[in-house]
Amino acid sequence: MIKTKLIYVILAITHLLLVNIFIWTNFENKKPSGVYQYLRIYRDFAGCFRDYTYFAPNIANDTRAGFIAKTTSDSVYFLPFRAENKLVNTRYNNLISSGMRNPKGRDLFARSWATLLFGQSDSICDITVFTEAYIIPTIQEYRNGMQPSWNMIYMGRFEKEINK
Amino acid sequence: MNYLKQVSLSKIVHTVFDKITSFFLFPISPFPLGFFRIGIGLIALFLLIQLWPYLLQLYGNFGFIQWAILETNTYTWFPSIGKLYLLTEPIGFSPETCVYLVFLVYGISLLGFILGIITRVTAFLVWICHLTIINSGFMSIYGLDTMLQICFFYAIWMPVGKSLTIFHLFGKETTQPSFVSGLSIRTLQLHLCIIYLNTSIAKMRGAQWWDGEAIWRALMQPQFSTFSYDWLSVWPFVPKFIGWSVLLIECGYLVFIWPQKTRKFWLSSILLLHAGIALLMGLPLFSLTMIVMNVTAFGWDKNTRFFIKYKKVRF
Repeated sequence: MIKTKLIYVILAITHLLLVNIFIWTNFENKKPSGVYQYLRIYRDFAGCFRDYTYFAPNIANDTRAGFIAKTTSDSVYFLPFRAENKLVNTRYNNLISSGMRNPKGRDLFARSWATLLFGQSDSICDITVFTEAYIIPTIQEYRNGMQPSWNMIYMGRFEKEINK
Repeated sequence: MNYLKQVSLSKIVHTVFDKITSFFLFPISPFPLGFFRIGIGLIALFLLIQLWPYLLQLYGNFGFIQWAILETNTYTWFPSIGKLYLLTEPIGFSPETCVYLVFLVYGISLLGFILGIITRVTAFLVWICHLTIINSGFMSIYGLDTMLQICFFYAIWMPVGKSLTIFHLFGKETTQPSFVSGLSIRTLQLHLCIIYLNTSIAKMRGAQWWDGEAIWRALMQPQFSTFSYDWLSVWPFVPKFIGWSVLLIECGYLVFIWPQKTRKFWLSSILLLHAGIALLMGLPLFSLTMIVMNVTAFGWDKNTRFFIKYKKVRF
């Protein structure tokens, strides 16, 4: 019984030590080979794939995205990348900010979003995707009259490709 | 002389060993772990119900992020809905069927998990389904998903099904205190300390948390703001005070949550902090998950009575 208890304690301590290694060391950038490969599997299974630095060290700008869709009958309408459900909206916001984080990947993700809309309506032939960042002035700047504003960070136009 | 040294060394080793084992091994009722199971299960179930109409947009092959893009970023062995489709395509499953299948199994397992039916099995199913889901939509995940994954991982190993199950209604529950429950609670307590230490150090590195700009920016953001906070610019000491309080509560958690004298105050403070995040920033499920974790870990005394009790105020 004592041995069993001891094994449990050792397992718990090892787990907590690994959690510390995952979040405090440069583990993410280690080449996933040998023992690191198995540790990475454990890390992901245990939910330690991200550290806990929420809203830190600084608060990033809010982002929003939208689509300007043009139909085959030349009518143009606007679709916001939003949902009425707040919980879904949080996920949409994460999609937008993680898609736009790396300037090199922005086109790829914008094309992916546009593809969904092309698939949902046959009449859409052209989509312009745009993303804006919400720039908040500092408290002092706000007191001096500066207002928060949406600034364009990305715009891309995609046409439906029709396979002949 | 050498003999004396050996004796004293072995005494020190024994004392340290005893201290460590008595710190980790203390018998406690599994009741808090039953609360933990029901709490995180209900949060995950509520989230699933909310996301259900949007599943194909968020996780489908032709959703906002197509599988072809997602699969390039993940490990080949990691479970995902896309890989499930590759496996089941020969028997006629469509991508949509695979999305709904994973979420259906997840939902049914969650129900079993909440009720405490074959808890180890349902906990494992919930964990593997959740892992598949976050891997299939990792671009939209946030703190809530990370915390739920941690909780589900713990739920497999911890005796979360020993208390507050449906069988309790029929008198089949045995809520005998056990050292495994104590060890589980201790592990959760230490993990929470790691979480708050990590987040507080990261915040302290940012100038925004010291001058109040972080609170100002968080509350002024359209995605988080639920009320108007323009008035904060008139009293800049308010966001500064809130920012410093957050740093103090999170950083002090590691030290002040342990002594009985300060535990009640610190636990109340951290619960209020999360309630504030839920109310002011519109992140209720993340806050609730943190509240459930905190109450499970530190909210009960050794007789499994809820720790935070307030005296009745007589007027």
